[in-house]
Amino acid sequence: MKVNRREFLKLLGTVGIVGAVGGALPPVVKYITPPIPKEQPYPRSKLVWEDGSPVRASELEVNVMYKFYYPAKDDTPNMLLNLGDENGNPIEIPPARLPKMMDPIEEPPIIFKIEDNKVTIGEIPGRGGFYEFPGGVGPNRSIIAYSGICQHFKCAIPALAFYKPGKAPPLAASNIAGKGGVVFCSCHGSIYDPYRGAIVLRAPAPRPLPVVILEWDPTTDELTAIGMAGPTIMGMFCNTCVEPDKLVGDKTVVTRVPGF
Amino acid sequence: MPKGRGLIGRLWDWIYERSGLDHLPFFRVPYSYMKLEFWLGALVASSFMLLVITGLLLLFYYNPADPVGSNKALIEEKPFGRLLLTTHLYAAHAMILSAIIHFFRNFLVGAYKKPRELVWIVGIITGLIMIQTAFFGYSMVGDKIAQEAVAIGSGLVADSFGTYWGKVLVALAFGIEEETRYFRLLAIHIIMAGLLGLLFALHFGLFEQHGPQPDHRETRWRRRPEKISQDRKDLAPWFPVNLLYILVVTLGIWGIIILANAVSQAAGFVHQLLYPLPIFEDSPIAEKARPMPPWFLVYAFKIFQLDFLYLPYEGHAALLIFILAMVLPPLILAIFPFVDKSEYTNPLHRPWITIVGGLVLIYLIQLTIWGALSIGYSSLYSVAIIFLLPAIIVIEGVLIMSNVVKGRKITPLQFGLLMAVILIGFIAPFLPVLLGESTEASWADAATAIIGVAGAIAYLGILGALMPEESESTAVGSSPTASTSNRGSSEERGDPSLFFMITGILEFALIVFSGVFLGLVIDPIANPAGATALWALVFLGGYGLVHILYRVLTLDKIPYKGPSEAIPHLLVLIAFLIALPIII
Ligand code: FES
Repeated sequence: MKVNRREFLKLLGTVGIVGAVGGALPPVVKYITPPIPKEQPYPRSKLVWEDGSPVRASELEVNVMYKFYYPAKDDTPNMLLNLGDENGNPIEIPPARLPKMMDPIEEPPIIFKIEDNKVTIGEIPGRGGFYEFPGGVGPNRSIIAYSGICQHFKCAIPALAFYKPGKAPPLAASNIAGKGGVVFCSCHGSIYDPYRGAIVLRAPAPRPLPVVILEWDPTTDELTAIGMAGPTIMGMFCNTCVEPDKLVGDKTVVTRVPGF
Repeated sequence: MPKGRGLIGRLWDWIYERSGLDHLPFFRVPYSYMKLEFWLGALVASSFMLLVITGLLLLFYYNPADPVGSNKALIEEKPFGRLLLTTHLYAAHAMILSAIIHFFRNFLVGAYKKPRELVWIVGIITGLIMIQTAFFGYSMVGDKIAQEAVAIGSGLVADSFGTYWGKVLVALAFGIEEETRYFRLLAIHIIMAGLLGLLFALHFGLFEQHGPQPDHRETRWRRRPEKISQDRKDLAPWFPVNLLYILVVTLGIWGIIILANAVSQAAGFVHQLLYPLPIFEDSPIAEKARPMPPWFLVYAFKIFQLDFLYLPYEGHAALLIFILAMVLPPLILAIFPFVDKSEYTNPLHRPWITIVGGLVLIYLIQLTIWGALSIGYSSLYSVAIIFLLPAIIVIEGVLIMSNVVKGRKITPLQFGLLMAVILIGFIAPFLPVLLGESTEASWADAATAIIGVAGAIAYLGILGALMPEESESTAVGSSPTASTSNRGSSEERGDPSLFFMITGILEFALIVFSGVFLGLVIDPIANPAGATALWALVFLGGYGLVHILYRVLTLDKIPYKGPSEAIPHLLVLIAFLIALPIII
């Protein structure tokens, strides 16, 4: 009887120590976890050059990669592209209905199959709901802006970059990227098709790149970013879950990415 | 202990007696154990010590509010700032590398067996924390690699643990706002380093309970005796012999780390895995650098690229990858003591454990090289040859050799089969290239596969060299005998005292000159590589000098071996010759 009581007390003591240590943890964990900010509305930001003058659609060179931050400053870069074929003729990118999650297609980018400078996107199978991909804007409907952060493990421009038709990414193992015309991530080799809403051609990326919704004013030829569509940029935080002063204002600066 | 004469002698006697130096509670080992093979752990500990020293000094100027700016200022304006920062990096390289060697040596000789299971498991946990500490360390720098490390680390966590827990874990590890991120990384790095120190103390304390595993040359590959008897006649006193030996190891590895750093600084940008300085986004070499982690995580970086391993579950897509890269390898290695309970310690007495452990090592090496050579993978064929060929060779080879150890004969068929597989192993990797697919990436795949085949053969070679000379059946009952140290006769090999004298004076001069040069002559900002080389010479001179002290104190126990005793000092000379052009 005595022994049993002693065994019980030993057990109680052990559980007590474990419990005390465990009970001390929540305050520590709560203390070191930073608060996650609330969702903000998307800002309306006019695209401007570094000197403050508005970016005009006709000023964007074909197949050159530009970069601007949206919706958060310094945190979420995007690539701005005026897409064209190998000879520099702009290509019209139509709107489409794309899946938020997809299996890679594993075929060369559509640019090498088109004829009369117009893409047809067709049905892209996938899971996780669909979104409306707005297509290109500008006089040739060829200007488009994708998130500059890879949907795999978040490598950003210039690790994630547009390689124009004819320019192959270095060291790429998959020959899908062999002829260029892709958005390629040099972190783990994900390949996207920029001519079809940045759908995934080669994993490990599981989702298409989010797209920035652009508004083109035909009278002034100016461009404005008004929101985003597609998966969230960071995979887990919403695109505008930041302190309000972290969002870009009514202007965002476009720069040319050297080397692309 | 004879009574000392004079004031200093009496003072020393007093210190010696009051501090209990003659009966320190440390495990003692025979003189014959004073070989690097038994002190690989000391290499890890010494590198860690150098990391702590340099790390604490770096704290004076690191500014988490502006990591890039403060690091640039440290490198370019602070005297010896570059020296400390690059040495911190190279010491981390050395610590991880020597931990891997330490680990596999003890794996091969079966040191994890009863009664050392806990030492083994605590060692594995210490290793994991070490890698985590290193990860947070290089994330703190704020350069290109660091930013990508934070991105990839948070991507991996977010895609493994689901939307909610992924979010919480990422916020915990990396914070949410860019501005406060580096305070958090610094705090975690220091906390982890402290934890690493505690775990190391635990590892060492557990080790001290049983001491090192007895040498297999004494036990003839048997598990017993479990401990080195503390009554043996040939035990070396911990103070000063063992202490001096550890000091030799410490100063030697410090010198090598810093000299390697000096060479690498002088060489400039050879490859980003070797480059000792941060690669900031606006530096001219930034274009040459790929998003790639330091070498010890490149294997995981390559596993992330194998897209067929991803799961079709939103929020958990990377869970399998996470387990394969981070959880499974240490887990496999941790269970060895509980699977292998045999009385024998030779690796060929436990063929399957030897196979699994060897393959883990070969795969790590292969994935590292593969990751450095290409992005993504080209085909399932290349994955198959890269992973299957070494597996088949190792399995066949180890099984055959363990049969030999058991006293069975090799049939010609078995032998022929092994040769055939090796032959295929050298041809199959080149098939895609021969069939016309001669891209950079397909050459990289072929090279990786060949390295796997070569690694498998080298592994079999190591096992062959360790093979017990007699088969089990003939060796039963032989009792392990002690004392291998006094095997030499008292035959004269010449008088070493003159040699020690001259070398000692030269090495002393080396220390003094290097120290004076460092303090008074060299401009550490104009010639950082030279300053680093000088620093290395200080430690290497100390290494040589302490080695002489150690030898002089042990001469009557470990007889003078003749000209081969000059080797440690030859190393100092070679180091001096390497350092000289860098300094001038
Ligand atoms: S982050 Fe782009 S492929 Fe991994």
